[in-house]
Amino acid sequence: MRYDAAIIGAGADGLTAAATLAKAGLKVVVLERAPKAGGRLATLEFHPGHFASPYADAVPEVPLAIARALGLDLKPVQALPDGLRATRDAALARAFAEAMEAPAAGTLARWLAPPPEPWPGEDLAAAELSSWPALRSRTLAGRALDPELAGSALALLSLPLSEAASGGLGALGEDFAEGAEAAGAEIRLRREVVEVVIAEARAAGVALTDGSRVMAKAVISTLDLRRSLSSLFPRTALPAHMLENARNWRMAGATARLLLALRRPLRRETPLFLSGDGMAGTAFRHGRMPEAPPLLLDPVSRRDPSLAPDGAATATVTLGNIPHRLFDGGWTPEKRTALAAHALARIEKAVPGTLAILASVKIIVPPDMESGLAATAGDLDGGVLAPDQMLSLRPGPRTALSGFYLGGRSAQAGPLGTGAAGFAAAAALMADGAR
Amino acid sequence: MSERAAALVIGAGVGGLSAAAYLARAGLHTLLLEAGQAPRDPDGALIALDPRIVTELRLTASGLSFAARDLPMAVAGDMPLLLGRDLYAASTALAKFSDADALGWPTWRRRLTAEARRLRRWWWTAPADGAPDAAWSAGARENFRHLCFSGADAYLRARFETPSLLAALLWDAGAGGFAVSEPGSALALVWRAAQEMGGLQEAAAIAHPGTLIGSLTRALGMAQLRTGARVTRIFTKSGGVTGVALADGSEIEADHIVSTLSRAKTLALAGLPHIAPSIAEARILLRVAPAFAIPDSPPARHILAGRPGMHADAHEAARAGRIPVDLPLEWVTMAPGLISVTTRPVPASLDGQERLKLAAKVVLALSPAMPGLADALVHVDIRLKPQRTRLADLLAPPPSRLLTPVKGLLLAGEDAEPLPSISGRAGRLAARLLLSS
Repeated sequence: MRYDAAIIGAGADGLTAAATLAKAGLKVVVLERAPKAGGRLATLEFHPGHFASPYADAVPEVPLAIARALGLDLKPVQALPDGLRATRDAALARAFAEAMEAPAAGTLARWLAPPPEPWPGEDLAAAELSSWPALRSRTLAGRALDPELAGSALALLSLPLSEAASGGLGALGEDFAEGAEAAGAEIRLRREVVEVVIAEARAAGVALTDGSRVMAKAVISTLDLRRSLSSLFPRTALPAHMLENARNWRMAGATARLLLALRRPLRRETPLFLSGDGMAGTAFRHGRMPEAPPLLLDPVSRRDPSLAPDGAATATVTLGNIPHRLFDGGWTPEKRTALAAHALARIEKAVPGTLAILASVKIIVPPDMESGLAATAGDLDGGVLAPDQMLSLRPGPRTALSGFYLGGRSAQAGPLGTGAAGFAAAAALMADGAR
Repeated sequence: MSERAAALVIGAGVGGLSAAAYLARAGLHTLLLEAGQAPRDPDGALIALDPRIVTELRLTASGLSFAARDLPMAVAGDMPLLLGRDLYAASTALAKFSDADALGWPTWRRRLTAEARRLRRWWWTAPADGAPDAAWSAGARENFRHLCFSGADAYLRARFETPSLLAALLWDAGAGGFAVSEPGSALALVWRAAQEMGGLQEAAAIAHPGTLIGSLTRALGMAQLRTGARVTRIFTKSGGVTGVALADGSEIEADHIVSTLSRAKTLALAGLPHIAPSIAEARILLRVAPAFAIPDSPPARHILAGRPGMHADAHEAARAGRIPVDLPLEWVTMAPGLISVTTRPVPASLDGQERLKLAAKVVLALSPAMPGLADALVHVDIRLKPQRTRLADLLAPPPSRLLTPVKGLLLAGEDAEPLPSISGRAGRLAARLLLSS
């Protein structure tokens, strides 16, 4: 049996792509290695009765069209200012438009084509994040950005502002999966793809770890660029320039998370941001654990009481500038504990009494993100959000291998909205199929 | 009754002297004000004199001569590396470190030079407006866009692997206060290449002591040079300049003023709001005993930058107000017994104690290459040049960098250039702008 499209990864992007294609009448299969669909849209019961999302508390806004098509129930944590929202929407529209437009055939035609208009939002490449004090904390949380350097403002386009109405991000992941299945897509869990099958110089299906093959006319990978190109193909299968692009693609995970189970509600109702000490970036680049990394404490059960038992509370701590690889070896249990102890001591100073009501802590460091989400270096953005890796300079959904599409966070629309890159990949696939 | 001049030029450096010379040649009654006792030789390491100034002001005829021209870049380390105009020699030298880099170097230099040739017109002439890449082909624009948005760190790491080479090239990318991960820092490499391009022998050159300033002073013609004249205030009235006040209490009226002080300093003198950069470049002149042999053969600009990562760390430390632990630096021999050291980034404000610490740090860093330097030192002079260039400064049409909110007040100092350089270009351009208005 041959599918019209095989999609690698049942995260928001994969499920959006599946739903979009299935609605258009294509036969679609989604292959997910985890036992549950949703990817980073997950909720974990880390202590009896206490729930939290392990990877993030919120995700970039789901574009309205996608939210409607999949029937999602969302609420924004904090509203994006109108100017930024307009820029983000315009950039997203541009990414979708490019996906839907089949590229000019031949190198010469591309070379001679009239120069494209600059992308909306490109002016942010020269701006500093520190000019947006109100949005600074949410943008910096869990990243290794220097808010005083030009270009850091680009991360504003990927501001995580949406969360599920109740039940944490996992509930949102279930909604995505239901939406995709309702549209007619098939989701196969516990199926890990090891290789993309190439036939007649185009992607023709995928091979799974159990040795079976799923044949399809096209393949969409929602893995990051590095993993998509370097782990899904034999070394000689791809043109050298593609591999070189993957090698030069910079990925750097910097996020550590602490999930706190608290016996009583925290003394603070709103998120608390403690900025770093100005040396955190240096420590990060050298693979040292920073002494005072930027930290965001979010009492999540204040907004969503379903995350904690009655009378108790759940909070999360997101730390930035945490290296994926430490210079002195791996992330041993001692180092994880030290990281948590350091962060909790800073929190206790700012919100006294926190330690006294602490029942349990779950520690998540970048290598956990890497193994949990198959994200290279634990990078949740699919690639450093630097000006040369954003907007027009991020890879589009099409690759040099026909029939193989990129639909994850590494793709152009990836950082601009949850599910957006999946939608763009689906749009590109359909546009190419129509030709 | 105060005196009156048609045009005032503040500062008798290379920029100020050129501006005054051009203004006087056009017949304007020009007064050149210098705070010091005499025009001083540039304190900066290298000059990249605009060849048009050399010919138009006939500097060679009035005594300009060069001690060294077209200096190659010398990378310090266990295996020294000399990168000059000869691509083949540079490639051979690099082969000791990495085959890939040896192969890649000539190709990359040629591409950089091609890019520099395209941008030179934008940087050095005065287009009215538009964008530098307006008339380029789609492909060239795509490459250019990538270059603009890239940080030099990522850009170079994708091309070269030898750590000492990367560290040295990143030194050039940090010109003007760029962080090496910031967009625009890759373009700073093109700026450097534009200065060193073929036919521009005066780039990366060192004039014989006194001959540059001497020849420019002789070119002043009818312009009047007044030394010991420190400007304490620039007067403005309804958005235009009216004159200046000097430290001795006298006042001079003028409708046009060309200032070679930094933008922040000039605006402060005029009582206008300004943003002072938080980081600076330190220029340190080390005078050594005549007996001390400076190990500078063949003459080169020597770059001491141990590892590629030090630039980013230093930038972070300097912005936080600390003198970085590891400081990248560049040194050249200005004259027998005179070494000019440039180091960046350092905090923009350093008190006397911290300046001493900085000087000690620099001498310590130089000591392995120059044994006995500390004992041979006679005099140390430190100057801080606050600077913080942005990508937009490199892409803006040149006149916009010379203009101020005040009508008739133009800038012609080092920071009126896209990236700081001692070229006189801004002075020439300011004079032309003033004369055409």
